[in-house]
Amino acid sequence: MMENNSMIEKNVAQKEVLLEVLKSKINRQLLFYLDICARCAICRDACHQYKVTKDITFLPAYRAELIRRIYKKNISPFGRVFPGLFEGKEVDDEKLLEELGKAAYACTGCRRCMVYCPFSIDTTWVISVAK
Amino acid sequence: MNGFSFFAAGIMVYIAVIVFLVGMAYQIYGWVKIPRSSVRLGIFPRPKNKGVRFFKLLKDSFIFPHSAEVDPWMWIFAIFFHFSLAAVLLAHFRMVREFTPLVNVLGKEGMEKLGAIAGGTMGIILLITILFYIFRRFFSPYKDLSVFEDYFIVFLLIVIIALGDHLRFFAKLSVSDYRAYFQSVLMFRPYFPEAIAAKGARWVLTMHVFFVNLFVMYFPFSKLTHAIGTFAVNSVRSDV
Repeated sequence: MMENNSMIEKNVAQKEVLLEVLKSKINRQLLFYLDICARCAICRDACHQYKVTKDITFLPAYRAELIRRIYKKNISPFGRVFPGLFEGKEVDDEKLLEELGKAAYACTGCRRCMVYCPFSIDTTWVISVAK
Repeated sequence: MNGFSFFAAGIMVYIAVIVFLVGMAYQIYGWVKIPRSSVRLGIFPRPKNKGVRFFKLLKDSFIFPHSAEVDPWMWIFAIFFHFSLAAVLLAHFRMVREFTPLVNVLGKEGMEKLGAIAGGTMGIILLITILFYIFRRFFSPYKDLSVFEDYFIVFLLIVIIALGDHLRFFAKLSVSDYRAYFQSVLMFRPYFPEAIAAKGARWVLTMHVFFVNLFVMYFPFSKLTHAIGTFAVNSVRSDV
């Protein structure tokens, strides 16, 4: 029982640390990138990794979407009220962390996605939060 | 006007406008109060001067030519959708006040003809492009990327456009009838004039306005803010 309690406390503390990291990285550009992406996936073929593997984790919009889901659930004022609209996720969601790890480590930071995005969203900048 | 019409096409319009204005002010304040990154995030080549940078900003925001290189079909549909939407929005101002200079040039009948042809064409283009948007999301990878919000917004737009097209093609109401209703809303005494109240199309109009209200109220809290945010982010693009 004691062990269980300390595990829960540790998890809560870890979650708070992760959230604080995300909050400390927020600036105006990042907020815009998180708020306005239309998920049109025009960036699809901009990423050489996605083009070759067809793995959704490497789709630039999806890489940024992983950070966006945490942002919507925990930080965005409207997203916190209606997280279901944006599929908001907790920062310690296991599947999300696994995908985020894969997306962040694989991103080379070439910024081709920014060149082709109709809104010039810099996915490298968004994913740097996870890096 | 019965109870529901009075609410949906009357009271709710005012609520929607207030929610939109307050929500948008809150959203913009949320963006502006956070400091910019200390790192410049633009990509080369650097624009020669401020004028060139401004022109590039307009080009990137309205035409986004670089997107056409990777996804030409999506680009064509997006351009048709957004320009038609802008034209249709502009044309709706005819319900506030008749475009007198155009009537002077074309004559009354000519203006009606222009409205029927241009309005009808835009209505069909909007319907085709929005259906493309929803069908595109049924396939991978777009399906895996989409969240509830994406379908919700497209659903609202499909309903609004379909009802608008119904009013354009089947309702047989004149623009002066719509203008009488629209002006009654502007005067804070919403009512349907005789010509609208006597026809079944009043329900189509009521539902059209109802869904537009939902759309307008949802706008400031969604990805729809790209309509405004695009200028800010595209200016970051050339910030080198």
